[in-house]
Amino acid sequence: MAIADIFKDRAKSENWQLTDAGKLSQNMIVEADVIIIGTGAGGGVSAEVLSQAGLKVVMIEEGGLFTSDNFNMDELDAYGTLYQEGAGRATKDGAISIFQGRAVGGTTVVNWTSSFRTPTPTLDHWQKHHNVQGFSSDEMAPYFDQMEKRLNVSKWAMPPNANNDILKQGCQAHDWSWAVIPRNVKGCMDLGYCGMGCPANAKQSMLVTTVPEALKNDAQLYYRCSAERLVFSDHKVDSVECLAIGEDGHTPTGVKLTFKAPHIVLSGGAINNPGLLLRSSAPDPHERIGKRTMIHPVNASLARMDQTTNPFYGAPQSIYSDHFQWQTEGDMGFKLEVPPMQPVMGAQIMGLHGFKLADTLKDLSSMQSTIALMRDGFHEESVGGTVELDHGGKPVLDYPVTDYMWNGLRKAHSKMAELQFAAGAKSVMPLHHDATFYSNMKDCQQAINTLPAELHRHRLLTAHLMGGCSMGEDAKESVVNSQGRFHQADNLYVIDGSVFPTSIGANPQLSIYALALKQASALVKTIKQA
Amino acid sequence: MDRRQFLKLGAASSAVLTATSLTAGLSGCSESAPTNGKWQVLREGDRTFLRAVAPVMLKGALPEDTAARQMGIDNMLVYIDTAIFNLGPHNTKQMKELFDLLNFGLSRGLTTGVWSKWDKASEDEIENFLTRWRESSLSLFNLAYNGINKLMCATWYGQPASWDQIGYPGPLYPELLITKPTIS
Repeated sequence: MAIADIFKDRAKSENWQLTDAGKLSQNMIVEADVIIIGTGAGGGVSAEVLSQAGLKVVMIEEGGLFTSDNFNMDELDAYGTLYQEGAGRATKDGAISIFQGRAVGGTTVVNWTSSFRTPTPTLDHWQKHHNVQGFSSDEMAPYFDQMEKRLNVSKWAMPPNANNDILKQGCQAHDWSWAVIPRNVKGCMDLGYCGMGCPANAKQSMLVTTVPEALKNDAQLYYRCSAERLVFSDHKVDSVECLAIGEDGHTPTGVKLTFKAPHIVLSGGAINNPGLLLRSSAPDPHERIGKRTMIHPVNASLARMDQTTNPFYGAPQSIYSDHFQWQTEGDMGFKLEVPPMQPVMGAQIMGLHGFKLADTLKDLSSMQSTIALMRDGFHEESVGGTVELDHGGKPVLDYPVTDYMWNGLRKAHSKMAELQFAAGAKSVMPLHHDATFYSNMKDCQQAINTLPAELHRHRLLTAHLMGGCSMGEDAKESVVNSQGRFHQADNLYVIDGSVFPTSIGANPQLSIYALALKQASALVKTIKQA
Repeated sequence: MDRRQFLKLGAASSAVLTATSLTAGLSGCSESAPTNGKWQVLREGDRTFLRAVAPVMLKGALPEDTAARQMGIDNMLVYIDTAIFNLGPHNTKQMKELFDLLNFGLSRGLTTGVWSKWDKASEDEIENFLTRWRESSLSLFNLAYNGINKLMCATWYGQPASWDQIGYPGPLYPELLITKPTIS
């Protein structure tokens, strides 16, 4: 096509070692210096660093290999193929929708490109309350610098789309702080379809950066290859047992792959990592695996504007406000951002049917939506959820919503409505089964005060999965140490967002990149010294 | 029906929701597999249910023209089949249990208030069922409503035929960026 598929082209010209496990007809055993399970933000950066050091790296990915020729800005196709459980993943009780990637490149293929450094208060909190060492702002700064350069992170220089501009105007009207979002893009066409895979190869996801670099350095990639079990013996992991997944993306073909290496890196993300460890009956004397899983619970407010907004076009996220993030000690902090609103995303989030749905969606091109990302994990009434296994061995997240969180969600609904009205909204609807559009703040506030704090009626979702293998120096409180080494096995490292002891308080990708660079660089030294 | 009666019925049907779907599955009342090779998940009864409910769920959104409307719903069924399959084996099983419940006479009547078969049910009956599940104080019904609602919203508004009405011109620069059309 007019836009070159750089992955496919380079794979051919550089002779990359790519294996679709689903096409294998017999079992196999693969050996390497390091096995990396997962190819998202954590696994991608780890693969680049370890392969650059001359180590023989094998990457394992349960999702498929999809590249820019497959990315056609088609919501149904993308949600079905690029997301965990066909974008239908949810918490155990079904109340909170979970959007998490599942493909070579992981969630970085479908995220909305917002790239924030880990906030200093978050790093300080880890040091003070979770016994994490080596993660001060000063210690992390060089890793952020390097990853920002590597992935071309810079503040979005083009004007924000209307959806984002309204967030800015609302903040300005209230004198709330706001800023431009840094994005990891190169040659971005300002399309707005980041969530469906970038068709222009502009997003600097792992698919077009670190994974190709690792493959160039003779790493091997096995995709549609699902890690089923780690085999533990004598304080180490002996091997990784995987199942080949057929072309449909879900059905095991019956072929088994066994991977062996002196060092294993687990980078499967915040739900699948604890899931794999639990399925493997990993030693867990203090029962910490899967605990403290954080999600930045998100609620949303919908506004009818007087102007054309076309909220489906343009860089999805370019303005944010942290005005309510660190403001008060007692309340739950939150970040204000906006989501892109293509038709499927827009229609699904409403919770309406019949004429109400049709009438609301008729105004899609003049709608604005604001979201609040609640900062979970910083308060005794917010300790996150727990990953457990269902009867089939699938990991599920049990995530309770406490009164403290409901108060935070209610406050966020108020602030979002205030912002939207100040920016000229004709009417505002907090997304809740019992709400409708309100034409002034007084009525809207009254409704918000009385909306039942009930799951399944209050629209909640998450796209940020963190924790579940939390890090710290105290083995009684954490799963891995500050270097990412599993407390109960010497050769198993967890390198991705699952090690965060709290949520980040910002879209987490850059936090994961910097952490992975730090941990993988240290692992290189450890391996070379041995 | 007053609220107390409704709640009482609600509590009874909540028990039914888990019990009968299980018995329907065990006693062989439910179809175990799609009867036609082209379907991955949806059985004939499931498709009948979806065909009956779609015009009410999407009232005002689906085209007036009979042929266009039929094609929209036909496409929805194909996409719903794929979407449920893509949810993975665990969720697919749960969806099938929900369909069992909806297709088994006694549980359908008790939980939805619709006593006739789906293809004989009136628009009002179906609207009452949707509202009842949406407004129910039982979260299990809210959850089931949300599931069916999301599937139908996604598979209708994912179709280009729906875009004119909502003022969505479609993806930008299709000639340059779309390599192969994936939606017919």
